[in-house]
Amino acid sequence: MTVERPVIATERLLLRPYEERDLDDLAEIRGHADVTRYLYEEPQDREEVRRVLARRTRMHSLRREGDGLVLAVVLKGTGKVIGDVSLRWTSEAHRQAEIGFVFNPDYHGKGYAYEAARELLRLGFEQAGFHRIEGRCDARNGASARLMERLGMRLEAHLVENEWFKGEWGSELIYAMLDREWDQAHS
Amino acid sequence: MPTLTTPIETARLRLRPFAETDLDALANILARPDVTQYLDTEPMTRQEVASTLQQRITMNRLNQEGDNLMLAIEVKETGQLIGSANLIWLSEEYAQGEIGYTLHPDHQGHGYASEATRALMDYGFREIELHRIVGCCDDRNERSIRLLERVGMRREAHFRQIEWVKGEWCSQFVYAILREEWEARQR
Repeated sequence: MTVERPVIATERLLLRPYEERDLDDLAEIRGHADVTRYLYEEPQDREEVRRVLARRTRMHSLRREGDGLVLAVVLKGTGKVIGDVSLRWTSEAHRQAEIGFVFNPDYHGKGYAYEAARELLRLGFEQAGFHRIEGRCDARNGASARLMERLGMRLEAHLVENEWFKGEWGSELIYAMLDREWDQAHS
Repeated sequence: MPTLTTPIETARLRLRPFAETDLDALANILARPDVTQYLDTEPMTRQEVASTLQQRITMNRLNQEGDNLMLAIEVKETGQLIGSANLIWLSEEYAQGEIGYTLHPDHQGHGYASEATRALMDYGFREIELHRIVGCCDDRNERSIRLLERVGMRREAHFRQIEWVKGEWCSQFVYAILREEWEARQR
């Protein structure tokens, strides 16, 4: 099933597609060395972020395999974008998707990432009808690994030195969840 | 990087590119349901094997990322074609490869598949200077699991229900070995 420009409200957050006015908030996030340490990108200047944002404002729906959905996570009452969560439709035949998340370090430790990512999993399983959703992170990225565990995802892989990453061999963890596991945890 | 002009020889086997004359022997293998049980293909008709063979004849080199070196496994003593072994160059940037193999059931149980696989891994680490080689199989494929463990690979992933194949959800193991681990085993 397709997903068209979703907007999701949680207790403290609003998840919605990116908009042009989010440039300052996104630049604040993407400019952080802490944020890009385990991402493929280096810290980005405002011009680069402008291009990133232009791409992301178009990633608002899941219509076909290959599409990526990125939702800005807005802290209610402030209007500030404190991070984003993403869902990429990796296979139609096998009903598979990949989840991702990036948050502003100034807002870490409050459970916002969990609150947002959980709703994206819900959307992926209950609305998009995916059978399996996986998430990947650098093996040294403890915060991401803990978040995926907290979300109820299982560690399925530890790929040793499968990438050359920022001047050294990098290893990757892959967590995953099946639709029936989601159902069991939320019925 | 090289087109394979000289066959790879092991104690009992010769690994060489496929040739027009291999049609009967290849058909003998790829038409069998017990061979394709854990592959994502069905048993092939002779005509399908003929077109597969034409493809395989051209798969005689690893010149660039994405190339798949597909070799016939021949018993030196008899000249009989008993299966195939292949090496895919997955990533040039990350120096990654993937091995695969198929053996005629009548010739299983003699260690031929692991002998061929070892030779191809050696080729990958020496000639292509790979950093890591992976092998994947269905998690019910006992024979393949034992082979990958015998040649020194480590189980790195158990992807549950990652594929819908032939009317059911299938799970996959990924095994891997690093060049330094491979070298340590040669001493």
